[in-house]
Amino acid sequence: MIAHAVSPTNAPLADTELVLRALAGREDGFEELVRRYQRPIVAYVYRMVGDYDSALDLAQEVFIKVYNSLGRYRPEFKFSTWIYRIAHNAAIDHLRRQGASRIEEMEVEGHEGTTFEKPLASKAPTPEQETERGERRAEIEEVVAQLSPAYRELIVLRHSHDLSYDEIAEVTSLPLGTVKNRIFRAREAMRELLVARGITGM
Amino acid sequence: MAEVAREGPQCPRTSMTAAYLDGELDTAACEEFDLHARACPDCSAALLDQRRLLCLLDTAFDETFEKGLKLPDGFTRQLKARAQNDLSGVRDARERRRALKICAALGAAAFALLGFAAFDVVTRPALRALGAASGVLGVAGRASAEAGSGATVVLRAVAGRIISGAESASVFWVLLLAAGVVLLLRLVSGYHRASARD
Repeated sequence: MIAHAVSPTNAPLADTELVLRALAGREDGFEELVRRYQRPIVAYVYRMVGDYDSALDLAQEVFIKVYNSLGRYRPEFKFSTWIYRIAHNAAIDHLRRQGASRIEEMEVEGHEGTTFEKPLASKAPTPEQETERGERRAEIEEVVAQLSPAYRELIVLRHSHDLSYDEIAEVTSLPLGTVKNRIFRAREAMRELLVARGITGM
Repeated sequence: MAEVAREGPQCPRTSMTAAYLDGELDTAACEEFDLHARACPDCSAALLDQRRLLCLLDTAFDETFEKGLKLPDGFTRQLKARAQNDLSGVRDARERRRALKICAALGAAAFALLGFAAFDVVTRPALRALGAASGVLGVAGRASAEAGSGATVVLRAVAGRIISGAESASVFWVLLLAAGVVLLLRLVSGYHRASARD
């Protein structure tokens, strides 16, 4: 059985406590942070880059950066926002290396109707498709993958990772007003794609 | 219910519907938009569409995707080990400076020890080889200088004979004529090559 870092009262430690433990040289602090965030980070990066192996590699990159920058983490900010910001930068760098020149350009093109086919890799785990709910979920994932990266990221951060608009602004370095406006446009783009697929029961 | 993409110009405030539904407007802005949306057909339609989409997204973005990800065995340990063994960043600048100082001191000590130990093995034979090489080079240099001075004497004698001789002027004219012939031949052959290419 794996031992998790807990407080004397057996309640899970807060992220900032774990950071302090890690900085003090205690291995269980960083290990628990990895355990807590590995899935959300892999899921977020996977949705962003659309390739499972790349997502695993990028997640490693993220945790290396996190470990090396723990001393610069400021506890007044949420650790989750901080780690998503590092993951955001890693994903955007990866997309740029893959040939997408500018995230803003990608957004404009996507808005004009050119969607970005970034289907989830077939070897990656697929969601349960036997039930109607599973099929619908798969369809939504496909639509999200078709969005431009700039829109996809906002939809994923908001709806899959439950980040507030302020947190999204911090992760993506966008002004809050842009986040508000862009989330609306991202949802509209999604709605249009769903309508084009004949999904009308929204 | 049939759903169609909206067309044409819309009320510019429809973009506030997302923030309104997500509870991201402050109280005053929320109340103001609430009042506006009741009277604005564009905004009330946008609210309806966004609400339906949110229901769909709530269903789609549950934890199934994240939990369904099959991470490689031992991924946590692997992530932790890679992060801790990565040498690209030591945690802070002070630690980095200290590490650099220690490395420099160790390097200097190692260099001094190696130099001392290698004096007999490397330095002495190298100095001996250097002395031998300089001797060989000196002999070669002297030989070259003597050969050079001999060649100069011979050339001077030959040149003196040619220039001081009565027929020196005719030799000059013969050489000039030969050069002219060579030049003419090159021009003629160049012209023919150009013609053949055309």
